[in-house]
Amino acid sequence: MSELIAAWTALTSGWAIPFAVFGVVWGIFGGALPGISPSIAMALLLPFTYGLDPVSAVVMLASVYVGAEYGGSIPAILIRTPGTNSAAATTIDGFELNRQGRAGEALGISLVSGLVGGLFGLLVLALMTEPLARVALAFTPPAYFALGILGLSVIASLSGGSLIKGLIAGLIGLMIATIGTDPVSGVSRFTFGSPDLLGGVRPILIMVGLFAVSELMIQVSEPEWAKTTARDTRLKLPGWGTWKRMFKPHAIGAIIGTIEGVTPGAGGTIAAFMSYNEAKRWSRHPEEFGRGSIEGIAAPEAANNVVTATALVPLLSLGIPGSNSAAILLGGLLIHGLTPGPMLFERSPEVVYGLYGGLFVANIAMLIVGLVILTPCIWLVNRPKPYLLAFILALIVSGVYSIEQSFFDLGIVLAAGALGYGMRWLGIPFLPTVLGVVLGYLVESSYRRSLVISGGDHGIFLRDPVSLGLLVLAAVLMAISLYRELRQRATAVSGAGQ
Amino acid sequence: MAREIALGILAMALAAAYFDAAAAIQVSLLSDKVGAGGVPKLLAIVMGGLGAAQIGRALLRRGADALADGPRGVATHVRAAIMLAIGAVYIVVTPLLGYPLAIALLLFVVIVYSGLPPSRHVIVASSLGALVFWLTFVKLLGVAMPVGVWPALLG
Repeated sequence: MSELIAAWTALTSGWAIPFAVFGVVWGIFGGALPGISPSIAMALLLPFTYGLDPVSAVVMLASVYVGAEYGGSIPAILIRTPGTNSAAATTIDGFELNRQGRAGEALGISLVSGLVGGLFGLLVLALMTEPLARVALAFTPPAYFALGILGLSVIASLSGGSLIKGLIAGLIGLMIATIGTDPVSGVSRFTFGSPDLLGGVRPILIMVGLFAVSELMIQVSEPEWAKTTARDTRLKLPGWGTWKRMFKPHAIGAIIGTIEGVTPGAGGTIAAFMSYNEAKRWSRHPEEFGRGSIEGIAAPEAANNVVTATALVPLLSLGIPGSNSAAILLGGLLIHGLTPGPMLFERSPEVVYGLYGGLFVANIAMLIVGLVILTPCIWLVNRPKPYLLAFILALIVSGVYSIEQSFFDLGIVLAAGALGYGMRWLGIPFLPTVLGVVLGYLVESSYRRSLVISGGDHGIFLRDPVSLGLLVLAAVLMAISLYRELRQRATAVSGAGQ
Repeated sequence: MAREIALGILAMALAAAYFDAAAAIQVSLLSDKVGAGGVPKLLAIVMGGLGAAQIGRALLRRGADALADGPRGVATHVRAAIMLAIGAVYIVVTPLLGYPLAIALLLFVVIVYSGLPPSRHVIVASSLGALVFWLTFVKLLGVAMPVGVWPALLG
């Protein structure tokens, strides 16, 4: 109770609440623009926090993070362009529902799932920071390698019925992830002498190309492809029946989001894809996934919004920024002379409890802002198709250029678009490619660091208990996916025979 | 079935080219036992194996798997490629024309290419759209977009 009073006092004694609302609006705006990541949206506001009191500054930055992670799902659903990495999983069923004329329903599910995830994550952050901090400390290089393998195990169920094609797609992603400077020796690989490639290829560039540019190419080449007779014109919040269906995916997203959030470096993208996969596995209607499933939106959206809060656990308790966004927040704390770690709770409790209160306000503000802006967003994407295609391409080129002021990045996006178009033509699913690009660096660098530690002994992956547990889990999940695929194929063959 | 086999051949070709490039990665004195080329070589070998498996599968199943998005003619591929080319031309001309003019032209060209005839309405929409993009990215977000040759020309 005293903590609640402390949070309330910290929030109301200054300008924290208005700054929380402003932060959410700014975050949603930034997250909805492809290329403006949550960390960039936060970094743009960092200089303005110098003149603020510590509570308002930290609350505003954290609110931008909350808003941006949610904002990324808006273009993912409406124009098949994930605004942030973690919104990529939402694109699968969100855009499919939009194509069926149910954009308002998809956005409503995404909004309430984000709210549920955000509030659950806040609860975890407030009540369990101390015990969960130990989880973060248990993660060694072998455990990170195993975590990456666990993430890649999702490929089996994202393969769209052909495991070979799914694996080819995943390997393409892993190959793209090897471009750049070698994580151990510093040697450049596959850069062909271009300094622009030394830092590797950003996953967001590949995602925007694969999803959005390839979609533009399809749309412009087959004008009647996306026609629907009836379209949502307003935001539709879920009814009781939909809430009941969302309970299980929300629970899955909450659990996975908590685990991934407290693990530094894991992030919302893995959480979203894993939640999507598990929601499909536990669903009574797995056949709807990929064809416009309610659960396929609810699970990843809940998961990546849980991560916005739980990612702060290692930051606040140990001073470890687990993501770029957490690093910017760390900068905001340091600017005000606050050092994260166990002593932060002793020396500046008003900042910690103010942050908890601010996150609560930010999540409520996210709901209110969403209710206000989403219907106009639906109106925008229901404009005549030539205008829509032109504005999407302009948004992509402007947003991507904004990341590094690089035309080279734009070239990568166009190349990824051509790759995505070719993959569609060949019937290759590109979600495994996205997973490969996102997880490739984590898997390879952790694998090699582990072997450096063990002197080349692969037994290190089995001796580390966390690594062993995650590898066993990955093997079990892959075996279940394979078994299901084989069973479905056998059913299809026997059905065709009859 | 031809496309299924083509995929297998493409995967094997990619594997060969990638392995070749991986073998050419220089060896560093700082390197670990796996080496900078170790993981890429492994990926190439697996990709080659999958390509072979794909070809074998296509030959065994003989068209049992219909591709999801159906056949497309050459004309549709050309239309799609032109959309990509518009983006490539934007990359080339923007440093010369500057962001506001280039984005207005991009909007105009894509609107017309997507099926609307050139009209005053399209010109106004492109101009207003460019203004909104310029205000958002240059003024609000402070992104240093290209200004083109105009400052040099106008003194």
